[in-house]
Amino acid sequence: MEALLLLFLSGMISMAASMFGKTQLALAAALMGMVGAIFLMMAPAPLFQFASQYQGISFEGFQIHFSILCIALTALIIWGDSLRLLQDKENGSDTIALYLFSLCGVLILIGFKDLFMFFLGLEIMSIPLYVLAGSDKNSSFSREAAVKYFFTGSFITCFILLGIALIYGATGTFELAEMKQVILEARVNLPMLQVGTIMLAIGFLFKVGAAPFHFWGPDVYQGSPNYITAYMASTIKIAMLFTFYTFFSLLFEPISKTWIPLLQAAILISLFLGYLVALHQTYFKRLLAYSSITHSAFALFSLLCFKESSLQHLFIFTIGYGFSIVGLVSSQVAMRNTEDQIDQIKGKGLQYPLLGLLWVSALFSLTGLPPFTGFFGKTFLFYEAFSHFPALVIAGLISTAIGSYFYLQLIMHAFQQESDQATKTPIPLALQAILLLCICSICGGWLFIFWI
Amino acid sequence: MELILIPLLLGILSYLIPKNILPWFALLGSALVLIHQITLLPNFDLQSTIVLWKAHEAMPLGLTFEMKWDGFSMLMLLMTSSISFLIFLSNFNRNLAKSNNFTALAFFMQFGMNGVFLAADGMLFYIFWEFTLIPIFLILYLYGTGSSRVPLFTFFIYTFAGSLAMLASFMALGVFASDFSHQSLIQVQLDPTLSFWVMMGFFIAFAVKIPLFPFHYWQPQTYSDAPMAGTMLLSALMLKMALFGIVKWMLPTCSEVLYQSKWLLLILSLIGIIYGALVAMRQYDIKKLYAFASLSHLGIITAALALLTEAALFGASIQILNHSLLSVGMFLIADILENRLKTKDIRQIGGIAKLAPSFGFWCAIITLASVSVPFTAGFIGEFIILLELFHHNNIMGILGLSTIVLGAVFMLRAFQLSMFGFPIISSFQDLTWNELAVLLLVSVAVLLLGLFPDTVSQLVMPALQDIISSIQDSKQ
Amino acid sequence: MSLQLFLAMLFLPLITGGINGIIGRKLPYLLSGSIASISVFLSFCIALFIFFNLQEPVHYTIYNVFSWQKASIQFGFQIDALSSWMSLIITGIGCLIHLFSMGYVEDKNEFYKFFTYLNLFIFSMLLLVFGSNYFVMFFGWEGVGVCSFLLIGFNYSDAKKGLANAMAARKAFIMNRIGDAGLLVALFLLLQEFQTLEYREIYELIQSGEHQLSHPFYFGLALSLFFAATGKSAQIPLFTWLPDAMAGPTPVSALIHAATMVTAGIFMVVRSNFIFELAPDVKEIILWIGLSTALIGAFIALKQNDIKKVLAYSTVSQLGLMFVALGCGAYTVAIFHVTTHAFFKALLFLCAGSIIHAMHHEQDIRKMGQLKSYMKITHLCFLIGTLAIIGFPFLSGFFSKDEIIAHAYSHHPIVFILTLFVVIMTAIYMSRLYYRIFWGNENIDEHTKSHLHESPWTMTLPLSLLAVGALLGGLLNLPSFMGGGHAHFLSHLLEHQVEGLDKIQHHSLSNSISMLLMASSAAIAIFALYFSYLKWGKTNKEIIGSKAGIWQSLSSNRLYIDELYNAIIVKPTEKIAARGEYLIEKIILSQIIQWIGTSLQWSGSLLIRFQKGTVNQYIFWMIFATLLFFLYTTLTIHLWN
Repeated sequence: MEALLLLFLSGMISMAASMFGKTQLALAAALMGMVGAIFLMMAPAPLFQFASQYQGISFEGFQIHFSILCIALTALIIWGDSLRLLQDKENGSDTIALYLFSLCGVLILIGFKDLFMFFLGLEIMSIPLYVLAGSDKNSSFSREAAVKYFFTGSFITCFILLGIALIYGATGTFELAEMKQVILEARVNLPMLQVGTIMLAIGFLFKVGAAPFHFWGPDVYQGSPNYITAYMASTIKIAMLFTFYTFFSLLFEPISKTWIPLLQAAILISLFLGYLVALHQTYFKRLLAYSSITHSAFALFSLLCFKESSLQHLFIFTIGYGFSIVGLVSSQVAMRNTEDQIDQIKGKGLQYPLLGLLWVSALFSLTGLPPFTGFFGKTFLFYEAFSHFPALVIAGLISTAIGSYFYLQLIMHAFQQESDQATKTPIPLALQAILLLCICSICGGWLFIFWI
Repeated sequence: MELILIPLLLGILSYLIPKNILPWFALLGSALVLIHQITLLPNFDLQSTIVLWKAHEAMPLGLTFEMKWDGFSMLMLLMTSSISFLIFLSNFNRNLAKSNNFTALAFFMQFGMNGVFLAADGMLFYIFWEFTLIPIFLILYLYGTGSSRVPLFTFFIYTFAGSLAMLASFMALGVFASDFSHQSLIQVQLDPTLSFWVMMGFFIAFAVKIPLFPFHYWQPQTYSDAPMAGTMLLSALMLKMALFGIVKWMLPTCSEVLYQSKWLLLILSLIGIIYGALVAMRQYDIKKLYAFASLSHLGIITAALALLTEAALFGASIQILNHSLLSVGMFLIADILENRLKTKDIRQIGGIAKLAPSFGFWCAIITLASVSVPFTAGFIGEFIILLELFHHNNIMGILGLSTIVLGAVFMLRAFQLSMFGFPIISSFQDLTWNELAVLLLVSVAVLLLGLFPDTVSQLVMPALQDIISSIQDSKQ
Repeated sequence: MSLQLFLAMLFLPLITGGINGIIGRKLPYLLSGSIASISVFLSFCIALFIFFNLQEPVHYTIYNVFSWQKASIQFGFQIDALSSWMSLIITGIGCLIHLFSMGYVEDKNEFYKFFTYLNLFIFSMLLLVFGSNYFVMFFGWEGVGVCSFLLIGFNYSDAKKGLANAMAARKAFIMNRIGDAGLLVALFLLLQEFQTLEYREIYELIQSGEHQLSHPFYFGLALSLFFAATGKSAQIPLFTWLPDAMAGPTPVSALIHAATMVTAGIFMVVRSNFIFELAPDVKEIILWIGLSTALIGAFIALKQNDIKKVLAYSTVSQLGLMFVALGCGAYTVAIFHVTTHAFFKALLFLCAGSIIHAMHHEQDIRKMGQLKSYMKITHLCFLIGTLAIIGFPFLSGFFSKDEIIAHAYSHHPIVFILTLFVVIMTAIYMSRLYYRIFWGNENIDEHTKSHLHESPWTMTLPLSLLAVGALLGGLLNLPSFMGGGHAHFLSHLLEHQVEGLDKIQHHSLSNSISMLLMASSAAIAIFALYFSYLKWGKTNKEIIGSKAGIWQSLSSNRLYIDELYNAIIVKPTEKIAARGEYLIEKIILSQIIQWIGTSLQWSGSLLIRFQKGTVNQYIFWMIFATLLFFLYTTLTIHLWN
């Protein structure tokens, strides 16, 4: 709660800073705000009593972990993006402010306790995103991305809103806790609730970019500026996955028979669609987009089996996934891969050892090889789902094998012996730090299982 | 615990060591690991398995990061350390020895191997098993000389997919077990069909890694493209992981199915023995020849594992040691030829023995050892295995005996074409000290094993008896 | 007699071989040669000592090689009349040939290597005969195979014949390996039934009769043992390696391929006589295979022109005769013939060696003749050898061969007649060889003649010693009507100490018949000598390249047996290998990989079609999916409420 307010404050400050075109100030405010927010999140008891009577939002347990993860990822992203933002005087600090407001939305989404807050958070999160996607005014791709994202997004928002309305109609309450009681005692208009649930499910599938509602993903990811892509692919996706979980695995468990089959279908399609199409990609970010479709399918395994431990597995998985994405995008920025072609990375792994290390760890983590975090998250999710949905898990393993193909291809590209080495330009210090942080968290993130 | 940590630390350290003293560092480091393990030997109770490390609190989904060792894994550890020492030694004056990256990767490899041999927890085993794939792949890719990437691709994706099948098997077992620890996994009783699929999962993973007959597509080209050290790591160490896995995990967990379906393994092994030998007769690329040769030699070992008797397992463990030592020797020879003559084609080599007598002499020793004449470990191993095979089924035994003849055919062909005849080239630099040392050590080790196999049996027999008895119990 | 002494005899050759192998390159060649020879001579003396102080069989167990619940295999030795007798032959002839080689081997740089291999051979041969069980015997069995491989291919770096020598060596090794597989089968069968490989224990188990084993088992066991013997002792079907093995240096041919190694098979059969006695059919097989080998060998020898090839084929046929003896159950006679044959065949080979040495490696007898005037001692020794082998009265071959003929006679008349054929042919080709070399016209080219000389003493001394042996070898086993008290000395010796031999009853012929047989064979020998003197003695009838009849061409082309083997075994194997590799590697496996890859790519390209890039199409698909969802739900809704 306090963290949320702090972030909002720093967002305002950077907004103000933009009036004087002081991007450094905005950046400093943002980073300090986020670090402070993390500390506030970690603080065992709220430091100062504020609006304690309001129950709309509260953070405990995994909500804290997830929000810390989201803030940390966003911090890395903004820090990395600062290189670009510091260049343009007039909009840099606005962009930072937008990042922060959207992050506030993310936190609300993680911490909400009633449908009202949920929708609020959703919108606060999404609307800045539409702007951010188009924040690179010079590139037509960016504008295209923004428009596409806006249209499809607003279209889906209708679904979600309708879903909320129906659920409210069915249960007659906004409070999640109450709603749970009502559903358990079956004092509900069941068909209405089911329809609402499906509507909501569709909305979530769209937001996490799972097939068959993934279409916006590739275009938007490819078009938006690098770090915006990273932000969408990591923070937003993680937040949406968590919300998806809170709704469906916690709230709608009693009527799981309605939505489990649909979810299975979505997972199955996404598992193969993402990786199979990714075999054909030549653009780096587009490839990331398609692989992220499959990854959200992996993550959705956590919804299938209603155990409290699956949230922990989801957390481990998202650590591996999020940091890999941020690291990969940063690597693109670090090697100045402006036109974002895969061929660009040829031999760079040998030229810049740091990048090589990052690619090895991130890509192998996405492939799912130990000792990287991706392996642990994925294996845990699979293992828990195995007892109920063995076929689905086997499908997941097969698609993992398919995915290893192009991840391996990327690594081979990266370490190819290039005859004509381009002149080596040093990587900016900030990026080096970001890359190192990503590598560490990819390699060591799984250690959380020892103290969660 | 330190058993696996020391190689890891050495690996990390070797990024910091200056290049000029790096070879010495690698040599001494691996020697240190070996010596450390030898010092552990005396106060090592052969009869029992010792728990090295165990996670204290309950892990998610019953992960007990448990590490044990018994005689068999002890043997494997000793083999790993000595082989990596030999690899560093034979690599000593190559350019590769000056590369920090390579040294580190080799140490990481050893780290993973030790983990595999010590893990007493299914997931942990799988984790280390998969981990070894990364260093070996990087070594093969970064330092290999292959023009086409396809074989390496096939290697990685084959082995990775196979491992995923094993992961599925582990999951299936773990669902029915309380946790992933070895003893609770082997106590799981599955219904036959499920147990069959579990076995197939393991089988695919191991068969690809070994490789067994129909899964060997990646092997020849990969061997021939890989750098010497890479080939040695592959054939001397990585294979053995799979064999160890069969003994330690596949046999106990799905023994009752194995009793019905061991013919599958036997048939494939026999086909491998004969087919590998026949194809090896036609090879001119010496590394490919050795690749097919090892396809044939490993057929014998896998056949032994399928027999499910103590004697056969003992013969297999002798043969495992023998094959590791010899493949270091053989690929060193192949690399010496390739390195000094810039060709792998034995038709363009000849009369080396005249130019480099000591090289020729040691080649003769290694070749004779690899056709398993008496006084070498190979003879003891093959004798016991073929004996058991013959007792299991006379026809299979006689088919297996064909290796005695065919092996002689292709090994001697390779040896004579390269060593004998009138020298084509004018001069050939004889062995350097480290190559000589490697060949000497290998020959001595093989000779000692061949004369006193009982020492090995004292080390491994209790463990093997445990495994066999556990299988017997589950059979009833 | 103590264990240390015995071990000293056993390991002296090994030790000196090791010394030569390690530091031999530095040593002066005479030193390395002489330490080798002296070590073998010493072990010969020890062997003599052991032989004379041997009252009853002695067994030593050194250590336990390995053991499992079923059985355990010891590394042990058994010293009895048979093994010590063989050891006398091995070391005795061995040291003579060492001495000879010191004069023979020119290439002084290769000297140490040559003697290393020779000593290793002596060691493995001793191991073979002294082993107390089949396992140790197998060690020696393969060891001698390896040594002969190394020695046949000794001149591998020769410009002309280098690779050919290597190929001959490989052929020998592989043929032996095929035989060894048979021996391994026998070992496995023994372990399966008796859980032990000790000769003595197996013998006792069989005698005790508690193992009531089926006849087929003994048949298979004996057959596989005999198959192993055919490999080592060059019988049909595995005999073709021996003639090629003549590519090796001549002393090697004398030691390994005439005197010792090739008799290992006979030794092994005699060792396991108690098994063969239980498998009469196998004995019959042995008899006939031995007989046919003897015939074929002798027949081919008739028309060979390479001096060593003639001797090689004569060795084949003599070994065949030994197997005939074994087939008749006359084990001691076989050993007797092994002994005498060791003497005269080694003698002949060494003579051939000294001739070749003198003729500058000319081996074609058509390019020789009238050598008697140049090389007196060699001539005399060769004459003695010839007379001995063709069974000239009262030389060693005479007695041993007559024993065989006698047993053949008492076994079956046809066998007897065929054996006589062998004897006749032997007489003919040997005397042809003798006259073509030492008499006839002188076809030596001038260059060679200019320095044609008698060989140095290191070569002539062994010759003369062996000649004495060939003369007097018969005394070891005189027939009863001649020897009186000491008759059949060797047979009695063996029968008293070797398991099983005492059980075998001999239907001894009456003196008159055996005298008759002796007379007949003597007559054959003398007649053949005279006849061939007429044919080749004075002048040289057959001119090089003269038109040959069908029999001559068959004989000179060795009955096309090598070609036959090539056609039915080697070529098909290569074809199968080629086809199999092509089919599996190039077609099946690679195609599977290809197929998987392409199908994945294809399905990806199929899916990518949905991504047209227009928003309305995206929205259309989303609505489509939504409708599907609802459709599914409405269809399944009644299933659960």
